[in-house]
Amino acid sequence: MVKTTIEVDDELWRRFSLLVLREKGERKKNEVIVKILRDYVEQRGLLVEEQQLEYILRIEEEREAFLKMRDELIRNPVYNGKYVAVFQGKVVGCDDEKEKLAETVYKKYGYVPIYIDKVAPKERQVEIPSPELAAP
Amino acid sequence: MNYSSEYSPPAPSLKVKFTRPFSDRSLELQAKLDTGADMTVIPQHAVSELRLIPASRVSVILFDEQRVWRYTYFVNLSFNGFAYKMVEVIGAQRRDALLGRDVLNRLKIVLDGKTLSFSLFDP
Repeated sequence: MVKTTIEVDDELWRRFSLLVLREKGERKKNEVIVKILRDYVEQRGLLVEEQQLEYILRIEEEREAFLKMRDELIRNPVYNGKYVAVFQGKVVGCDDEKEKLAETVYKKYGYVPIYIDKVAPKERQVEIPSPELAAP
Repeated sequence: MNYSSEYSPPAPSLKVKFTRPFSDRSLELQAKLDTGADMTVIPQHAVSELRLIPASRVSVILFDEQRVWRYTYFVNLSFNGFAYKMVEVIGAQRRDALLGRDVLNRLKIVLDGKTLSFSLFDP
């Protein structure tokens, strides 16, 4: 467990305290703050076990390298609009099809964290709208 | 195939086998056919159990236009005699899988809500 101190605006804290008292009862502020932290981490996909976290940290390093190279890759007709694979900070593969690229680079370098993304000005977006009714 | 009554209202869903690339390690999960989903989604516990390695991350737009980002993984999947290699899927905190249009668009699907049944073809 970590004990930490944060600075919060007086008025914001007063209103937060009031809401927690009204909704959860006395001495529950800590619990609510921990839940907010947990939700924040979960929403960003990091509420995972230790091994996954290690993979994620490695893939984030490769992503960082990709983002540094992205403008240069966009200007290069060999890469622009295609999928690239980044491993140990370098582009190690390129293909129009991400499935083919994944197969090729994993066969060559092993099933290890290799970042695969499309060379485009913006990050990839996908829609998963599917709302579901919670079970009663 | 019949719709699953585990959903209310019943929904077309089936068992899908997800396999770790270059391995025999696999897991069978209930997957709902979801024509609204751009990509296939698997539960986070499956990511851990199959020891999948993240390959990318995408910005996901939810039904209320909220955006979150999620890691993606390449996985082999098979169901009802159909098999697809190296499908990029999203990991998310949910109990079942969603079979998105990235997979569904490779098939002909007939949904019969009247009889709560559906069929899959690859003509």
